[in-house]
Amino acid sequence: MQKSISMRVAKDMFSTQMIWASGYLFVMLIIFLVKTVGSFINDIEANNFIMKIIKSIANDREADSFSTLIFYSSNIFMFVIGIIAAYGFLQYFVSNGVTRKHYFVGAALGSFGVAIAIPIIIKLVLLVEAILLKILPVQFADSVKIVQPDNEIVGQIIQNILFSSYIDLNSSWLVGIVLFSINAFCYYVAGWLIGISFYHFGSVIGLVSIPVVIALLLIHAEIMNIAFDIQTMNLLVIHAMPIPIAYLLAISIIAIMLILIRLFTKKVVIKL
Amino acid sequence: MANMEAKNLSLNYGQHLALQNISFELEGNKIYGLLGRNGAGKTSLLSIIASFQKQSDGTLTILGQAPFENAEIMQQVVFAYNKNYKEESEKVINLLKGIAKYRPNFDMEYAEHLIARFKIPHDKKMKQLSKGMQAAFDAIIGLASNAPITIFDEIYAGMDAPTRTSFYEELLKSQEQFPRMIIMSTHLVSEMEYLFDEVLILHTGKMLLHEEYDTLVSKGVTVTGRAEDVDAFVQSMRQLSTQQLGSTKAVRVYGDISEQQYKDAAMRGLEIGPITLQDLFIYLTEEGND
Repeated sequence: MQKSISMRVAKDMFSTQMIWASGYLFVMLIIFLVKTVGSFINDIEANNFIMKIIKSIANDREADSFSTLIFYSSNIFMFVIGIIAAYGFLQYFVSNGVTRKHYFVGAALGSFGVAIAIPIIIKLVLLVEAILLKILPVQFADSVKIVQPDNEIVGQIIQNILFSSYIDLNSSWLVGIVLFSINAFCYYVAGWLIGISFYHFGSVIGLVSIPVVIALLLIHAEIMNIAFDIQTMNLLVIHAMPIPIAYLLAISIIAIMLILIRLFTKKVVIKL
Repeated sequence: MANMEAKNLSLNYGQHLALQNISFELEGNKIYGLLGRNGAGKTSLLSIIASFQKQSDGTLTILGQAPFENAEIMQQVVFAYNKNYKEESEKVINLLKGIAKYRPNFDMEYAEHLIARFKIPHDKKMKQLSKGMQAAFDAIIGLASNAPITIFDEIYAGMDAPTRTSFYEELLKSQEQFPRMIIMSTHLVSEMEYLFDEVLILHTGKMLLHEEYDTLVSKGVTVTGRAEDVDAFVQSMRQLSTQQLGSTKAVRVYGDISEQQYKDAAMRGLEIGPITLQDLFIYLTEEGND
């Protein structure tokens, strides 16, 4: 019975968040189409407002592929829905007689489902793109170009938070999807932790939670970059790490954030 | 049969004591009126019963078990209050279907009947409904959930008079069909008092009284007559208020009046009249009557 309540919550969380994901994918598709159209008309003189907007969005001659756009924006998407989850769902479920424990387990499972679904969608989009590239005269930019190392520290932090360059969905199916899922879930849990900190403790501790969570995200990215031998920010003293240990540490960071969320929600007062 | 017992229940918000040593016992599928002025602690008490928060001290048992984080009990308690739907883009019917999944006794057919009765458009988004309709929606959740413990916290706020009347009618009908323990918090006492089997009055975080409705209203009387006779008659009683016009005095008193006292009053030419629950509530919770 108790298990089934958590599963019901997980199912609801998954389906609601996948509806949001479809909205996000739709917006990304519009951006992609505008960018692709823009790359075709780059040489045409922009003499009206719409053309100017299209050209400003598509400031490259080569547009990014749809899969690249989703790949690099999904971290932020997961982060944002994690924050929303803390506010909307907690009150909804408890007011419908669900315990905080079942909410926590269900929310974690449902959201992990979303984190698995997104790379599968990207992989499918990649397959469609591969077919289209063969039959259409379209050329997409190399997906690694937007993750060229930034020299400034703020730029590096943003880059490390936004892009996970160690994940390659083009090569290995399973490894890419597992890595992507762990990474996306990490961003979700990070947003969830910030949201819960604001909900439970108010704005002061809520604000404190932001740099703490950013630090955890940076460590997570750094560990994975070290393991996959990608340029790091030298935040950690170690410069090499076996991949299984990196997986373990990355999962530990997620586990730490999940434990904090559970502790903060265990007796949390539901706002009316 | 539903039962609930609170022993020395307290709730603190930092230094502020929202509830202080509240004790009561509710037994049976009755309608309980929880009365109290603004800030008396009604919502705090109800939110503990609904497991929205845990008491700071004391114990609460529902159906013999502590309710907080108890899945079995939390499913049996529905807490209907005016929710904020400003950001809710879900359609009315979909939201109800979502809630129904978590309430074992939810009656969807009855919920749809209520939607029609309260003239709520099925396919509109929640945030597009008027405040009154949103309040009626919250009432529908409470009624159609058929939960053994059903709480309505000032649910009428925002409803117009005809909607409130429909709600009271539906409440009584629904209670007849699916008897349960209903706790209604209100300060709209006059139009709801006929619903109550028992009344609890909270005042400044303390339980002022818990009585059966009939007993309570029989305890409050107005003694009217010559000032000296009235004073002599009421001197040992708990006096709530006094009005005097010339030599005629009217004193509202609260307490048990014996047969002998009724006879004495008649002999002195004093008139004894009833006090409404609304008046009793006002005088018992007036400043200085703490």
